[in-house]
Amino acid sequence: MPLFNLTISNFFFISLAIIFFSCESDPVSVDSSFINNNSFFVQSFNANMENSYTFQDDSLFTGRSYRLYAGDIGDINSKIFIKINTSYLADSKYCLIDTMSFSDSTIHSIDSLQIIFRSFDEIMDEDSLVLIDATSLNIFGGFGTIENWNEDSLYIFSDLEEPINLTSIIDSNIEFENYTFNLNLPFDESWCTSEEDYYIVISYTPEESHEFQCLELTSSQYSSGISDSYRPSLDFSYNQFNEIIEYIDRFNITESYLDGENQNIFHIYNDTLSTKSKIYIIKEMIEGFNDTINNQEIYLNQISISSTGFSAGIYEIDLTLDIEDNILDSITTIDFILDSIIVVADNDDPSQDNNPLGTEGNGIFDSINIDSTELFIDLGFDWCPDLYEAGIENSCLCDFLNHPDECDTLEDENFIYNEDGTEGNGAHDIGEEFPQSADTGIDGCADAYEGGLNEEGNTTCLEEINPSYEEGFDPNEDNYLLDPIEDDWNDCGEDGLCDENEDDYDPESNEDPSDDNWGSTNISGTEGNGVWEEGEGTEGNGQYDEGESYHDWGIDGIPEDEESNCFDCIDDSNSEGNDAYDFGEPYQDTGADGVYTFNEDGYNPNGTEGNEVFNIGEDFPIEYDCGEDGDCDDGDVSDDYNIDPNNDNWLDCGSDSDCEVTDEDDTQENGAWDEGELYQNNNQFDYNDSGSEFYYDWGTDQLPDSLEALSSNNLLSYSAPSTISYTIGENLIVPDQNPDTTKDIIFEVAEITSESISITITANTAFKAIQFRLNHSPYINETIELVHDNDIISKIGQDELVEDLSSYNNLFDSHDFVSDSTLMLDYFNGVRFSLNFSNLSNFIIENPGIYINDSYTTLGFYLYHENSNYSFFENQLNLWAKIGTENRFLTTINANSNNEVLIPFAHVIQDIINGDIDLSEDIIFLLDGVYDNRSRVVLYKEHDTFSPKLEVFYSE
Amino acid sequence: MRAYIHIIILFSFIYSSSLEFYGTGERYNEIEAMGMALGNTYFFSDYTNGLNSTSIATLWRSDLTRITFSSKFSSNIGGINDKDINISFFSFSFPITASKAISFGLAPYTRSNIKVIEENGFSMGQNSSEFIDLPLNSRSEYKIFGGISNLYASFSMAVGKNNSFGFKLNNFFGNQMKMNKIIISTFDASFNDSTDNTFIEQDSTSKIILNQFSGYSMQFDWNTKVGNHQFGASLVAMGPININYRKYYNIYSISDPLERYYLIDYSYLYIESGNDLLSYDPDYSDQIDDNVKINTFVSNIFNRINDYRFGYNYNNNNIGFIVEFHRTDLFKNYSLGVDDISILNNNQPSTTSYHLGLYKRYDNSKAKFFNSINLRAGGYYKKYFFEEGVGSDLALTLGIGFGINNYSNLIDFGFRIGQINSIMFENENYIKGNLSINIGEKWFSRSRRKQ
Repeated sequence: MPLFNLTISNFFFISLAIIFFSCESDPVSVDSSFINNNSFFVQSFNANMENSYTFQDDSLFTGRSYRLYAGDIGDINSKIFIKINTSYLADSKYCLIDTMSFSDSTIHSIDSLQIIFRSFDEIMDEDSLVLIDATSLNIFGGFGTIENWNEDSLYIFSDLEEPINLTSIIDSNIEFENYTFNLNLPFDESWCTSEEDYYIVISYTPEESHEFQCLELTSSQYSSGISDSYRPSLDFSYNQFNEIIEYIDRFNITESYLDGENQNIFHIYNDTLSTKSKIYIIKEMIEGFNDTINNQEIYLNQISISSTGFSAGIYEIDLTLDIEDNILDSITTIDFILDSIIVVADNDDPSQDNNPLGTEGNGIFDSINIDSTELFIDLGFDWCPDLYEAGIENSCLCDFLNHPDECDTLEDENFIYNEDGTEGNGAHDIGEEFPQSADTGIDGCADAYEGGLNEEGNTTCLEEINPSYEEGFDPNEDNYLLDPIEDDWNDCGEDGLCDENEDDYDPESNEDPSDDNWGSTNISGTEGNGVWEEGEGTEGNGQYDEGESYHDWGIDGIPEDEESNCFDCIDDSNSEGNDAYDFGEPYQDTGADGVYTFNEDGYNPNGTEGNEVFNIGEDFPIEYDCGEDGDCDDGDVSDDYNIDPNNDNWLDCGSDSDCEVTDEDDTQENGAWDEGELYQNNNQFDYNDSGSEFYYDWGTDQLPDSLEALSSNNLLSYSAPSTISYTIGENLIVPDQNPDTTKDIIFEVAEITSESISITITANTAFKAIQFRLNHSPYINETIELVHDNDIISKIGQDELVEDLSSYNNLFDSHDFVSDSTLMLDYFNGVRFSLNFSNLSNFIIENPGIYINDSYTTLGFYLYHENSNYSFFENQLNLWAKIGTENRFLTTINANSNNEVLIPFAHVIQDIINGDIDLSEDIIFLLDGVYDNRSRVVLYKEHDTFSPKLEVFYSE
Repeated sequence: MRAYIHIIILFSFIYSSSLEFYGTGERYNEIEAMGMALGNTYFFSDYTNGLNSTSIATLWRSDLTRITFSSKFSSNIGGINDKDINISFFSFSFPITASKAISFGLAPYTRSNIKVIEENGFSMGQNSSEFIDLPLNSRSEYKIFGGISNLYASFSMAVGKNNSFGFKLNNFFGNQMKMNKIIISTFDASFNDSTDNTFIEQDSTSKIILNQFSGYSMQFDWNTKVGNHQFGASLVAMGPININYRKYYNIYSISDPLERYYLIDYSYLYIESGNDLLSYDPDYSDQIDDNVKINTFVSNIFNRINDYRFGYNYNNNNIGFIVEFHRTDLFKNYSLGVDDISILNNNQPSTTSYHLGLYKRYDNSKAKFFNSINLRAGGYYKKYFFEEGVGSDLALTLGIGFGINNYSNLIDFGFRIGQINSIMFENENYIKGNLSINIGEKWFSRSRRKQ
């Protein structure tokens, strides 16, 4: 067959197979000079001063602030206006009061209405001292109208005219708490019917000398980020109808008779007990047994059953019933059923262990082996657990074994036992002094006695001072040291001392003895200002110091052989290789010693000696084990550690019974009780000439006859009728119930009347005790009850009940913004600034499709702390950029002394590039009202070093 | 759209060399085995029917309907591992009159399939920014594949007894995907060994560029035969090349930002083809149109000559030689010169090449099935004119061909071994091979053929 008789399709498929035969390539490594396609760039933009300016935007809506202000906010005073939208209340349950309907969840009456305000500052201290000047607090309220009220769109500085009918609503009932105060509002029908809203105006005008000058409260816009519950809220206290469902027993058993007598039969009538309606038939019970079983829930296995039983025969039981009068009109029948039946056989010694054949009741403690003994209580000779030990003459605070109820009535102050005591507990507790002499490390050995590490690398401790020891030595290498040379920068100020190390430091009365802490009143302070000063440590101070290693690579920080692919590394010839450090060159911030802390001799962050912390292995001197009060002579036993007041616990301390002294006869800590050791909890029955531990003479089965009787093989079989329905008022002679006569005991209901029920028990064999319950289906009663409740609400449905805003005058009314040479931000006064960057527009136009790097693209501002308008020394601020109608959150600025503020700006530039923001509009920088509205930030505008600068890092 | 992309990917797994770094990839000139064996010549054939399936002016010489496949393999000798086997050419031609033929074909025009790792990257000194604490370094990793394909239609005719004319309309289309991961690191100086500085990766940006090409060119060929002498000339005028340009940034494997954050997985999506991008909107796109319109192309046709070739063939019965001169890529398209269109923004090099081919044909007129065995040898010298300097490609070629079934079927093998010298890369030794199968059938056979 000729080769080329193959069809075209065959060729096609063969060729396709070849396509997938092989394709294998390694990556090609290419020098960057060939790529010539650097994809990552930086472009810097300086602010265009002519087109950058601060201005006051009077279109701000202050009602959107998270905060409200009453009082002095600088040189002006602010009032708080609150509006309660009564229209939302009108349709709420609080205005649907109905005293007659008795329907579920209907409000019957309103007791009171309060409004709750929450403050950012503490207004009452722990001693209930009100910190604000309450006499200067004025609160007026009433229905009315403010024509121009609009919380969401009322311009800043708008005049708000108070409604004319407002009256003072502040009274003696105002309740202050640490950070809240509640104010009673005169709630009445008009709140539900008035077409006007209810307004509250809060003003606060304290004397200038008063420390508390301004109330700063949460507003109805406030959110913690998780919850809105801290907004101003209304607290309704009211009475409401609630539907109650009650289960009522249709009858009670008032009397019980066995063969016509009330002997040997007992019944439970207490309807609070789950055992109610149970009947016990037992002989020879103690007097008052019927009261006992009605006082607490007692089950048959808890009853000591008499040895005397009942012979075979027929027994008539009559139970007197008292049908519940309150429901008598509502019920016609009762369905009876007998359940919970137990019949105990008449057997005096079911286990056949009674004396003299057995060991029960023989008057002596019996044991077959260590695991098979009579039941004993391992409490020592005091027959008392540690908790109730009196600590005096081996006595007990109560008769624990015979009358344990007594123990439950003991008051806390009666107890000698105290496992939570901190004095004398052998451990170092908060409040106890830990002496430096005891801070020897886990080796328990002070430096002077340390003998160094042995061949196995373990620490050794000498009994006498190491003769080769010198001050500062640490033979066992266990000293805790974080900064051996003490050259770490700690921003403690020019004095080099942090507050706690300064003379006369007191955390409450003198926090800054040297008066060098940076803050609003001391902006030249050097401690905590975030800037290194002479006198502070040089390691880790973020700048080069003499003695530190550096690479003399020039200001670009890149060595010469790496500069070939660095476009901006050309002009560093003056600084590269000049044998002097220049800013930008890499260095090791080791401090002048040229060694990082972790390489300094002695550096040991894991050391335990001298770490000022008690470590296991260290001996805590008993004289310092004074408890959390730190007072060993307090004469107070309440903090004494005591877990064995009678000192009778077995601790395996050996024959000398002293754990501190090691016994030479190997009896100490041998895991077994030895003569001479104590008794409680030694897991064996103890006795001596003076007495013994308590035991039950029940034989080695550890059960008395009464409980032996309740074992399953000692119970009799029975037959009982099914449910019997009785119509109240009839005399019911119950017909034959077809009992199983083969059973030992047969229950039959003979007759039922409105007053009693007769039950016949036919015992085919003798028995010792019977338990059964006369059960029935209870009556379900539904009733309406008036209950008191209160709601704290800030909205009904999705409607905010409260609107609020602060009203104040313009602080910058006379400020010359045109001549202002700074950039300023002030939320309260609507001060913002516009920033224009030279060539930014051209850059964006000329570089379409670039990608702005998020990590490095930064807008840098510099804070002007010294400016008289600057007022931002605490807390935080949210900075936003507004371009046209678009707002972009930039960052949260923390107040500190570092004047450089770096703001991530990539997303704004990227949005401009993507066309989401129109750069032809000005970039306006502004604050929001989330944090303290009074903060004012001033930034350098035109300055040789501190002018704003934008650096855009991007990929092409 | 999907089918379009599939076609391009199918033809994208083709040999890679340093030439793939230029333009839209390596320019494909040798696509058929006979030409390869004859020193990468273009115009002439050593078969008695004078048919060369890539030389359009010769196509009228066959009175059969013909289908041609070429499959090629390539491998580097030494250097980096780089092997490929795949289809390089397909054409379908048929006669319409006794002296005219039409053909259609599909062949790669430029191709690239490379992974590139930038060795050193670019540094940014600390003094370039007021806000960064350490010098930065950016380094890129690239994966580039795809290129331009050529779907053409040609017309071939005899002009008088000794002249042939060919016209070819090349329709260019194709996708090229460029994936670029830009790794940004801080430059941490070592104080233990000043030469052992380290780059600590801080950030990365993924960039994907998808270029979709469309365009055309016109080719005119002329062959003249005078006794034992043949002369050939060819020139190509480039029409506009338009590009749909799309740029994508940071397409993550996990698209949901929150899920990405919680799983701490910021890996980028692995893109295997343009299909994977269909569900994403580009971050930037542009339609780059060449600066020539169709109506002005004809009037400027001589100003836009891209390639031209001249050739001479001496044939004395069954032995002969060929010499040719080729010049390619004279004209630079505006659109291909826009940033991000050419690979790494390197322009396609111009080339000037000199070709020599020798052949000896052994005819076997006695055998009905087996008509001839053609032994071929040759070589060429090509100069590459890169922007950064001049490179060269010197190669020797060998091959063999078989005419079968009265020359209705042709089987050709061609091999080439050579060395590329360029300024930016190490010398590259290579071997390439080509298998072409030309099948003739009588579907549209002309009456002049003797049965």
